[in-house]
Amino acid sequence: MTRNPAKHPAIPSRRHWGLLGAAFAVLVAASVLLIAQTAQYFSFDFRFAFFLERPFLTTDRVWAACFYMHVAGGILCLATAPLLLWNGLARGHQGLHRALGRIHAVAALGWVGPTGLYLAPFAKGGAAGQLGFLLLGLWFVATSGLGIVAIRRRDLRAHVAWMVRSYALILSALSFRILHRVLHELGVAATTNYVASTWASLVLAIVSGEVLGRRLASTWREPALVPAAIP
Amino acid sequence: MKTFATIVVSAALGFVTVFQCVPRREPERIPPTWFELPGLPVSVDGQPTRTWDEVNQALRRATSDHMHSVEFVENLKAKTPETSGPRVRITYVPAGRSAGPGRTTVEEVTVRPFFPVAVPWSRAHQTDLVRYEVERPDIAQ
Repeated sequence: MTRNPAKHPAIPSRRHWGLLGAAFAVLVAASVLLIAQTAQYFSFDFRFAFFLERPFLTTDRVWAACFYMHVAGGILCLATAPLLLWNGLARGHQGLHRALGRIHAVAALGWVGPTGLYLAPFAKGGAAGQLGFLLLGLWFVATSGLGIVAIRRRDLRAHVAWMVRSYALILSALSFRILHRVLHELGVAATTNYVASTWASLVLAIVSGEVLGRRLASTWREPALVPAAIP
Repeated sequence: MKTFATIVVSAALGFVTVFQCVPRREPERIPPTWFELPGLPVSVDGQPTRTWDEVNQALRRATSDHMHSVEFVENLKAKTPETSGPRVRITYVPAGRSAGPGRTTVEEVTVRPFFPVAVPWSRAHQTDLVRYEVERPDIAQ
């Protein structure tokens, strides 16, 4: 099936860049808030509600180490992903993109992914909640890994698509908190709220990542074909 | 291959480093939200109680009422690192203490609830996550 070039221009128009920029600004602001929130865990204080709900797990140093690695990796991913996406789409400095990309790859596949898979069976919400986090972890490792494999093969389109999918999954941490708060305000019972927020944020991340990933990959052109790149 | 080796090595190094940084904690037999003193309870703010379960229920009721008060909401807005609640007086018979001439068998302590460390923009406080501590006379205000 061919796409209508008028409807889906290969190079985003000025209006598209404006919309993209506005959406990006909101995402970055929300990510900064989330980073500020989660960084508080590094006080190593076990009186946070998250730990008080799991008093017997906090004495397990393997679990605690995985939790702190997950938070640290998540912060790195949240901080580097928007810069990488913007720098990549705007065809900015390639050296900076590579350097940030290496940090992101280590944080995503070395820290966030494996620790997330370890923490999933301990998640709240019973089997439904644990399965949700397990799927999130597996899909995150798969998308991030395939994104890195694609760039090693110099397949830029595939790299864009997979990394956008991966970023959407990172942002599920944000949508989960928003949904959880909204459902709490609506009076939804705590356990139901937790499971519903987990699955809704997962589905939202997979669907939005798929749609945006495909869209951005389909409009992607090799740098040599971009008029601005031709002297 | 080199990329994935870097990821694996950095993950292993990161885990060892973080594992060393995580404070060692002794396993707890009872949840930190449970309040109990060695002995038998007598009353909570003058209301008779017979078991520590009743004491815990009374403490949660007092905390829950306080959470709906204006003062607590103002405390939350101030985003103090740890918000404390109203003090509650508990009388109990300490374990091993026997009645005798000129000896009071019942002891009174003031207990203070502590809410979990407040994280901005996160969920509201929950009464089942509040822990209680006996207020030491030297730090009482």
